[in-house]
Amino acid sequence: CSMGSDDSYNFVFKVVLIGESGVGKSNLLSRFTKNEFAHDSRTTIGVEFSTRTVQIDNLTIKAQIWDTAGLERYRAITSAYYRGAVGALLVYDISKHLTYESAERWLKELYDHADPHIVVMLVGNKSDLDTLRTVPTDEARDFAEKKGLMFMETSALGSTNVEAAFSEVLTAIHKKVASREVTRGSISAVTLSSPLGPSSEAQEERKGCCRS
Amino acid sequence: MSLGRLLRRASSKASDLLTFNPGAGGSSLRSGLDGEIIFSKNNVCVHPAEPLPGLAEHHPGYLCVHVEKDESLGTTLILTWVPNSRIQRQDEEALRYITPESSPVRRNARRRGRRYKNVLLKMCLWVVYAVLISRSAPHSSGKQFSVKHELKYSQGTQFINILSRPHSRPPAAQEEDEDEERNITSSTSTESHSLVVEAGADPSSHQQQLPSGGEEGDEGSCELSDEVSRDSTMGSDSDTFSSPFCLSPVSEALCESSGSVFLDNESSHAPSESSSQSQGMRWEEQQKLLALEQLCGVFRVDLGHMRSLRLFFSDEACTSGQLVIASRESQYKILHFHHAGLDKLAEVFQQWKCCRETQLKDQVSDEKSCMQFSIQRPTLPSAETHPEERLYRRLDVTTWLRHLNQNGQVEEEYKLRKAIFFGGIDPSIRGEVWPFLLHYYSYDSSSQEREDWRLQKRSQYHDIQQRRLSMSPEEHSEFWRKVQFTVDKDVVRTDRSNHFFRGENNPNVEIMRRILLNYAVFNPDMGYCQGMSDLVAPLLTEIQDESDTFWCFVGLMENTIFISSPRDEDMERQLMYLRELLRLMLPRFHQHLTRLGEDGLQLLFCHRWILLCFKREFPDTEALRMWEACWAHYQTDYFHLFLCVAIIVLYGEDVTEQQLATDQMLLHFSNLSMHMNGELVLRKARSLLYQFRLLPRIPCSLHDLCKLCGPGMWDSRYIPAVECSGEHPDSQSCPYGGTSTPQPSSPSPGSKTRDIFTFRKQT
Repeated sequence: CSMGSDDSYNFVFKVVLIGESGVGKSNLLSRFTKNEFAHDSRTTIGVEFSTRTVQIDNLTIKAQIWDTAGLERYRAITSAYYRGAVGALLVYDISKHLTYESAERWLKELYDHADPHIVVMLVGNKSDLDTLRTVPTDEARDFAEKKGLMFMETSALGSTNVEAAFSEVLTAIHKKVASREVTRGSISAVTLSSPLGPSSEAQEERKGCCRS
Repeated sequence: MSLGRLLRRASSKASDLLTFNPGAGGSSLRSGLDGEIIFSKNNVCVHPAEPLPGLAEHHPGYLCVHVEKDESLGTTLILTWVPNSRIQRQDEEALRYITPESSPVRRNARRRGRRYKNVLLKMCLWVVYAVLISRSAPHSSGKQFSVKHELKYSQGTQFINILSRPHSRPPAAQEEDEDEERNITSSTSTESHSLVVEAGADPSSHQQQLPSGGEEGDEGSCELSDEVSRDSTMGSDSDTFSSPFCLSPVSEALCESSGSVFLDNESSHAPSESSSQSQGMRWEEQQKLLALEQLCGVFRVDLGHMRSLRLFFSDEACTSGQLVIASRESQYKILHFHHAGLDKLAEVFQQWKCCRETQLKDQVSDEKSCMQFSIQRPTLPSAETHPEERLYRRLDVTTWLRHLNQNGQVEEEYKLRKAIFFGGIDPSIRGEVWPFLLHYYSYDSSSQEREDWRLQKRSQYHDIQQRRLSMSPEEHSEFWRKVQFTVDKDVVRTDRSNHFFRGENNPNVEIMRRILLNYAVFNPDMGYCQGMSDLVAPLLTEIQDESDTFWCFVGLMENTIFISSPRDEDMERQLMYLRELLRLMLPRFHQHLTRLGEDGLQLLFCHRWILLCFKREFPDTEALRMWEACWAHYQTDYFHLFLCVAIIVLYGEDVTEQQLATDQMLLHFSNLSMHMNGELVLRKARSLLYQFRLLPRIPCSLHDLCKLCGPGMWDSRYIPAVECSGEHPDSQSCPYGGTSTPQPSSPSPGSKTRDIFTFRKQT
């Protein structure tokens, strides 16, 4: 996929980043949306998101990537965070086994709040720290397979697989949308860009639509 | 003639000199000089709204009104009331209050000796003041005058006088007072003194302004004599009753300007003994006094910024009674004139051009029992800024030291907090002042007590650290998983661009880490929450000491309402208040949120504002100003929410204009972070708070917004009319399920003052 204009798009896909604190969610986000990486990026507090417009199958897709603290404590944020999400990257740190162990817990929270058809990828980040690895790739891949998740190892620092990970997720979402696999309810979330949010009439495609 | 009459004449002459109607009297002198005292009266009482056990109901003090130049009002009047207890302590702070900044006596303000152990000197002082006042009036410029009086006075008879005088107060309180008075009588009544006052050289123009003995009858003489004797009632220890607090500066000023002699002026440089005096005072008495000072401390207001002044006369002659001052924010203060003088004050108000006498609605026309003045301003203060904006400069070392007395105690907590609220704290003294705001030091503590306290807390801190270091392997493993794992990751990415934490292996990062780990041990329920490192880092940067920072952080977590809290309900309450504030103050924005539905009302865009108190939204210099303003708890405990509203007011127009969706709104505000003007936001928030406090009624949902911060120097708490907004889950059982009229929090002092609560109706 390639960078596109921000103003015109066919779909908005909301993708959430989840996983333990310090696994590199914010850096994955900034690498994907701004091609930036910060060595001592601050902890995320509250909710943030960035967007990037990509082309998939000749369609313009606005990817809206949401990021929150790994230790978010507020239910209020949780529900708003997951609402309307059609994709998720469940991130762990390959050098910290503890962050991998909690994947199951994160998955449960995700399915508790998000659409059951949400596209999920298990992402082993910090693959540049291979010498400190505590989570074997096979183990994680097996786990992902068992849970029906996509899987990839990335390095936001080294810019390895970041583009690929997001692009795969977005493509999978698009496939689901195109094949109507996603339920009627979720489609409105896919095109959540209408000015008054989910409550207004959903439009499946807004080709060339511009917002002032 | 009696000294009382002399004084009375002098002070009434002094105030007669100064009318504020330009043109009246035909010369420029009517406008008043900066710093001029135009009214003074001793033994004006304040009655604490909530009486303290073991303390008398009456708390006499010295009332003084002086002129100050004001940008918008031209001249304004500053009213100051200082409790006698402060004056008796020879408090430099008190001296400053009674002697205006611009007054000539201020130039020589120094700690004074207490050689004259007689109340008479204080009486003399009033005379000298009167002299000074008349001297400084413009029409007297260039001329000299001279006054010479011999004053003889025996106290014993005067005490009998006051003891037999009926007072309009409950018998119990009266008895208490009388007991005190008897004590004094026994300790001082045997003394009698002869004083000579001599000032200036040219008798021609001013002699007539100062009464010479025997001119008139004795009417009025007992009034001031009474004052003097009442004056001493607070001095239950005769030693504490030493030389008057500003005798010497006055005498010095006189000496300097005219070379006259005020007694033997060599005595005015005797070293202070007041520290030994305070040591001699019993501890409980001190505690009582401190508690009292919180309730009945110095009261000082710019009358030009008040809403109205009411005088309720309690005697037929209309000389005694109560002065009720109401602020524009509808707080009031009652000053009791038990010994006349209220009529003179009424004259002062009548002459001041900003003060307009208004008719009271209920007043019976032929009975002049009450006078009301409303303050007329040449230009109404703009609602865009708080009217007290720019009156306060940043608290720097010099002004900070002025807030402390010689023992290092903060004299007036309210005044300090207000100054910080408006002006902030200079970075150089943040480390010193923050511990007070964060409740680590009490405002009452002396420097010595604080040092002792620090040592005590330091050892306590080390105990906590020991507990952490001596965990069993199981405990440690759990602690590591729940706390240390995250702390370790967070401290290395907190404020690393701050020079204090910059660089590899910076020891300060390790200190921050220890503080956070120890905090989780100290408060296992709270443990560690992300965001804490962001809060503790600036504390450590300013306070530097590890243990002190730890305890300040403990105070921050306990005493502020807005910070990272692990509980949902805290955050929910914050958001509820914020939504209600928006509904009230920015209805258009609130409507927009409502149309967005549940997600819009979640206010996702300001969670971080609240959790970190704007630390990520503004550069440190501005964010820390906001912290201080919040910590000051001035007129509200939720100033951070007013800051939120201010940001939305100033920067949220696009949201409503363009009808931004929830996500776009989040993006809009997060893009603004670090691009907003913090000073502007602070100013706006202060004006919003002001507007909020002016509201005639508030919805029940916001009832608690200004509850804990206390009334400060005012008698009344903030008592707005509360009405049920009907839009909360339990509105069925809402105590405000109907518009209620405000109820006083304390019993009103008398039927005549009851209607002060209707002040707010007035425009």
